[in-house]
Amino acid sequence: MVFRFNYLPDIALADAALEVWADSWGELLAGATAAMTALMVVPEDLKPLKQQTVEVRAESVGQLLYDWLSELIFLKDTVGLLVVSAQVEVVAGESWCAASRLQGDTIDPARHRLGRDVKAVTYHRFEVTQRGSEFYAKIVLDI
Amino acid sequence: MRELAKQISPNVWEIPPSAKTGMRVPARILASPGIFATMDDGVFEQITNVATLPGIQRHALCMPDGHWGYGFPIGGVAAFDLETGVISPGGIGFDINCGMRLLRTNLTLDEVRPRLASLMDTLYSLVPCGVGSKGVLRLSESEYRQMTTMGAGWCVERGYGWPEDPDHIEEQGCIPSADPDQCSSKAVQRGLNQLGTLGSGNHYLEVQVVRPENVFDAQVAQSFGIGIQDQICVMVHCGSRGFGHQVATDYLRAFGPVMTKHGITMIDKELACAPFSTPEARSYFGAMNCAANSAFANRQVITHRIREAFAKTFGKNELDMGLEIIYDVAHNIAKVERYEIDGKTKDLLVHRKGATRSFGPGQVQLPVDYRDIGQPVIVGGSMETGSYLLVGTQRAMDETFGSTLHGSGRTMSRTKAKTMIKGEKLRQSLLDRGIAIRTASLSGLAEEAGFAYKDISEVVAAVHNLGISRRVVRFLPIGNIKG
Repeated sequence: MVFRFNYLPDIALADAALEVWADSWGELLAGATAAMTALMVVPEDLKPLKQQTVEVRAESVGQLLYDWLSELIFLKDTVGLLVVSAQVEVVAGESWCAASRLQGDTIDPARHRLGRDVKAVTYHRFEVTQRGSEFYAKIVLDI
Repeated sequence: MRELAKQISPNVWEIPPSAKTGMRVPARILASPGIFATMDDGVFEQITNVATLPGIQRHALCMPDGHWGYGFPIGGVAAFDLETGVISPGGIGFDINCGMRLLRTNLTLDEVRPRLASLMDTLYSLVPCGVGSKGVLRLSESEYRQMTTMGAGWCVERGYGWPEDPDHIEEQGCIPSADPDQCSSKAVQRGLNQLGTLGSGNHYLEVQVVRPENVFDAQVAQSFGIGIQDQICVMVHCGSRGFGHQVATDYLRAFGPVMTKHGITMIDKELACAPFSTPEARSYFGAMNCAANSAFANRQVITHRIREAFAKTFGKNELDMGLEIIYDVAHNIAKVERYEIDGKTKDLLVHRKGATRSFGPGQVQLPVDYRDIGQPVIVGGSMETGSYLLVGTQRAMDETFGSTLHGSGRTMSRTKAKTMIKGEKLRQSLLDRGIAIRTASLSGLAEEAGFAYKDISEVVAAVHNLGISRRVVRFLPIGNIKG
């Protein structure tokens, strides 16, 4: 699947700012995942060598995206996971829930052209909205 | 907001409390006119936001290397009353105790240059860096938590350093009020494999030379162990890695409801805070100090590996090469320090985010051998333009809560910088200028090009002219490891 995202050159001097557009909340989380991964590695170098189940719950859809990306940063630091592809299911209820069985690879400098290390999601200019049928997020990641 | 700043002295600009609803004190920006003109608008918005926080004392400050950050600007300094004031993770930064360590050697450029390539290869193999890098130490969760209460001393006890090393580290490499029970299991898990790793972004390990023309105060330089012509030094810039970031992430999320509970208006979610007297604030303070200690330990393990690399490369004992620590400073931290406010001596919680402590002579917190001189202040520049060693002053104690700048400060985003030059071209260009680069990421290297930063000499001149720290020496890079 081709995701729609764009990096913003003039927002975060020392870090990385990005925008994502999607047709659903699940696609928005998957697109943000792809955008974050592409900061850390050249995506074409990744192979789907492992699977990882991820489930996150939060009180709002904005917090869900924040916690989702934070969980992937945690998995990158602890088990070396870089996400190759993700189909994310988002369910809205009393709380919001995102779940996926991710296809991933393990960080390997011998196979991967690595970029910057994403270390945290920030609330700076953080924006998650639905505009009609379009779902949108603006995210600044700490490098 | 910028247009409301009035120049009140050659290098000080002040925005009055009337500029923004809720400002409790003026905001001061320390900068030469040239630097002031190039500062991004975020600095002015953010430093005036800081001035609204409860219990802030005297004024909110931004150093000449200031630029847009999260909550506080980078270069932000603010001191808070312990009873009425707050603690804010956004005033400390995600990378808690990101800092600088400087080692000297008794080697000269002539001795090092012929083996520089080999030295850089060995350093690169012994000090892991880049995305996903892991250190050589394998700790259990309980060992890691113990390390966070002991800092650099934990490493020295296990042979990763010399007994005298902690003497030349801020806080002797261990802040006593660390409380590992306040750190989440997630934070500890992120840190487990990362002790002794450099990280990425603007973190680096650099081999540097002190040219005679770059010694500005020979007497003070001599006191810091720099007195040989073309002396080689090693500078390290890194912090608390994933552990510190997770502590910040956990508490930024937790502090939102705490602000509501205590009736504090949230101007910016990254400026979340808690009254320092509350249990929530004390929990964060305990966890933050754990992260600070882990950063001291991280730089200590790296120091050990640097010594190993020099010993291996030059076939000499590391003691014989004089690889001693000049000093180690934190530039992302909050600490309780004593200052005079309105004629009364008070303990204050001083936040420094991208700012360095700059204690003048006579402070009991300084090592005995530096107490009559002042604190070494280590200022990292880009890999192209060099770095500085300054010394703290009484004026900093009087005017800036014992604080000064921390680096040169970015002027261009990472995204834009790498559209301007390719990493391989930059590496070759640096090699042509005598600077050997080893990097885990060529695209990451391009983002750190010298043109993305302010002119470090101009930034340093501003604090020197202000008198909040004085120039001692300038270092020129000959080798750089970039994560």
